[in-house]
Formats: sequence, structure tokens, C-alpha cells
Amino acid sequence: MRRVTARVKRMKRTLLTTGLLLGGLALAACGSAGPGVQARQAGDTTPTTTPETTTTTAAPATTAAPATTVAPATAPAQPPCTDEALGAAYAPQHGNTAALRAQSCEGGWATSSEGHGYGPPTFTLYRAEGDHWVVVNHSAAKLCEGQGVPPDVAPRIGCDT
Amino acid sequence: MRKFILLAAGVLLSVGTLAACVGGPPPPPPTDPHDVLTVGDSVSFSLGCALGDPGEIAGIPPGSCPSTPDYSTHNDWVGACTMTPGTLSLYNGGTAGAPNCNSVPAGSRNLTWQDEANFFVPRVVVINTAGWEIQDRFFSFSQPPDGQWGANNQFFNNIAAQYTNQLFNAINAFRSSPRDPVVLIANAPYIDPPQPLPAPGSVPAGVECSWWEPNDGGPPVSQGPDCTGDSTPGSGGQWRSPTGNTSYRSSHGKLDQLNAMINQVKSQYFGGDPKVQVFNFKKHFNGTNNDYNDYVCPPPNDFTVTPDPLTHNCAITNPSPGVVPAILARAPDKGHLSPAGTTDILKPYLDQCVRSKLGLGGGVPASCT
Repeated sequence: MRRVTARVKRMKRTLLTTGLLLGGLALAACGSAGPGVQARQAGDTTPTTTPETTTTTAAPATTAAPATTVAPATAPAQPPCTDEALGAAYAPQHGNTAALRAQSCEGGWATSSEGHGYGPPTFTLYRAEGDHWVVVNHSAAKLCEGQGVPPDVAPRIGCDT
Repeated sequence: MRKFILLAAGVLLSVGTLAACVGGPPPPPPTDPHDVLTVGDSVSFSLGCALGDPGEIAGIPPGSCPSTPDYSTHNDWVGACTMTPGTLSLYNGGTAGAPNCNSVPAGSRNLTWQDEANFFVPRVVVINTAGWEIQDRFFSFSQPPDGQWGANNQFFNNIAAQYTNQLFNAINAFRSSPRDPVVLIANAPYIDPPQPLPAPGSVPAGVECSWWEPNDGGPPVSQGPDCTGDSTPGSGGQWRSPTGNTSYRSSHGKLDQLNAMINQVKSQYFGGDPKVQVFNFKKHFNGTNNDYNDYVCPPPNDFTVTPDPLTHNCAITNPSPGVVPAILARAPDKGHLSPAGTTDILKPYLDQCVRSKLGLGGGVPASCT
């Protein structure tokens, strides 16, 4: 009888320890659940991208709000859409700007074309940062795809989509 | 028995040695097979690029012209390339031998078009020359230049005859190349250069400001900033006759004639050959008004819908009703295509056309026409 009681006590201790461990693990899992994509387990049918979607949807809403309300009054003007303004961004990376011509600027994005004698021109994509332009890409044809140019702006500045 | 084996071995050795001395047939010339070969001038760069190869253009990252795993392309554009022989009457008043990249070895490989056809053994060839074809020429050194597009006299007959003869020869050369290729002759969209080109400093002295083919109905004023109407550095100054004895003729009229000659060569000499076809390049850039346009509605509405001149929006019904932004299709020089013009307007049609010729999935024969 005493042996049975002792065994029951041992079992209780084991169960308690296991429960504490499991609870700890569960807590740890809760605490560590962040925006990152979780490792997908075999047989898991839950889409792994759900947490990321939630996070990325929330983020722009937070940052977009002030822009929507404040933009008309405080947003800095787009840098000038001139050969000189675009050339100032182009020159440090690509050199000679003698044959650089502004193509189009809209919505904080711009393109220029660079002549090469009898050859076809090359093109450069810029993004406005404050009062100046920054070179984003340089190419002969595939210039803008994947560079973040908004789809309603890209065609208007001669950008491939 | 041993003697017999020795004798047989001796005979075999002798025969082998003799065969090696006499030699077999000469080895075949080296080839680098590509499915598609594009040839022409700097505007033709866009045709080869749309099909996946930038050709020899310096200073751009690989991947500027994304290729498809379905077919391979060699882009053999050569700046200022023309088929028509003779001596160019340059806009700056000088003269220069016509850069006949079809018959004179050109490019870093130093090949003629015939050489290219034999080396790349294409299954489809795309030809496109225009901008420098329509420049006045001297065939004899009489004054004025005796080759003139846009005229309606013997000078036009001279240059049209020379051009059609060269185009006929080029098509024949490609058609007789080893893999019996389809030959697509791309016609030419309108151009509207606002100033003479090329810019001083970008080419050797003497050939700067040497080409100007405006679209305007009458002689325009140069908008600069590289070349004036007098071919000096700067802006301003009206178009004037380079030789002093020619009249202004718009590139609009010249290209109409050139494109008509392309159709004539096809119908007159290759009418019964389904492997010679005109690729309707101009249809996708000339818009509904059949004129030069900076902005074009995106496919499939490029030749059916006119962009609003102020908003550059297109009110479309195909594939569904709505308003979409028009595409800025041309470079600031108003001759070459913009990245969007190459990738989002030209490429869908040319790719579908070429696929149909190669028998690949996604081919649409109607996209050629």
C-alpha cells in the first residue's frame, strides 16, 4: 500500500513537472511569435504567409496616415525635372552628362535618356529624396520593373512594368 | 598464322596513314546557332532587345533585355546602318560613305549580313533600317543629291530603286541560309527628332549634327540643346538645306514611301513565299491618327484608342471598360523607343509573332501583321 502511494506521488510529480514544462514552452512560443514567417510543418494546412500579410497590411496604414493628411501642406516639392537636376544624381555613378536628357518626372519618380553617338540611348530611373534625385537603376530597356515605381506612374515616365 | 596477322596489321597501318595524308572533306565552317537574328540600325536594337539580346551595347547591366528559355536571339544592331549604297549628304553640310552594314563587314565580329546568316544559322531573321535610309544621297556626284526620299521625281526613283534592290538581295541572302529561315521585314514608325543629331562630343568631329529628319510639315526650328538648325552647338535656328539646293521634305512623307517600298518588295518579289513577311512595327506606335506620338495606349489598344492629349489617359473597353494610363513610348530624341515602348508595347507583339514562326507555344500569327 505504501509502495502504491509512493508510486502515485512520483507520478503526480512527473505530471506536474511535465505540465510546467509544457506551459513554459507554450508561453515561450507565445512570446516569440513575431511578424516573421513560421517554419511550415508537415501536414500543416494553415497558410504560412498569414502573419506576414497581417503585419505588412498594418504597417503602411500607420505610415500612410500622416502623409494623406499632411502632404498638401508640408510635402517637399519634387526636385526640378531638368537635365541638370537629374545629371547631378547621375554624374557620380556614371560620369559624363553631356548627352543626358530628362525624359519625364511624375509622382516623385523620374527617367532620363543618355545618347551614345549613333547607338541606341540608355536610360536611368530616379527617385526623389527631399530636394534632390537619387539614381535607382540604369539600363537600356528593362529599367523599372521591380523597382517600386507605382503602376499609375510607371507608364507616364516611360517605365517598363 | 603469326605472319598473316603481322601482314594484315601492316596493310591496315598503311591504309590508315594514307587516308590521314590524303585527308577527308574540309571541316564545316564554325557556327553559333541562334533561333533568331535581328539586324539593322540603332532603332532595331529594340527589336533584338525585345527578343532577349542587347547585342553589343556598352555600360549596361546584363539582364537589360531579359531572354526567354524558349528561344535564343542574336541582336546585331549597328548604329546608322543602312542598306542603300552611295554617299550620304549630311545635315551639317558634309558627306560620308553610307554605312552599309548589310554588305560591308560591321560590328565587333566584322561580319556582313550574309556572314551573320551563315554563322548564326537563324530560323527567323528580323530586318529593320529606316532613319539613315531616308537621308539624301549622292549616287553620282552631280548636284543636287540624286537620291531623295520624299520627292516625286527621278531622284526619288533613284533612291527607291537602290533601296528595293538591296532589300531584295538581303532577303534572298537570308532565305538561302542553312536553316531556311523566315524573314520578317519590320516597317518603320514615324519619328520626330527635335534637333539635329548626334550631339557634338559624342561622335568624331565632322559628323556631329549630321542627321535631322523632322516630322513637321514645314521646316521646324531646332529645339536643341545640342545642335542648332545650322548644325552648330546650341538651340534654335530653322532647318535649312544642307546643300543649299534641296527643299524640305518631312520624314513623315519619306517613311510613307519607304514603308510602301517594303510592301512592294514583299508583294512583287516574294508574294508567293510565306516565309517572307512584313512585321507591322509602325502599327503599334503611330496610333489612331497615323502620326508621330509620344504616348500610346497599352496593348491591345495601341492602334485603336487615342490617349487624351492632356491627361494621357486611355478610355478603353478591351479587355474591360476602364481608364488606364497611356505609355510614354519614345525616348526624348523622339526616334528610339523608351524602355516601356520596347518592353510593354513592342515586345508582346514581336514575341508572339516570332513564337508563331518558331512553332512555339504562345505564338500568335496575327501579331506579325
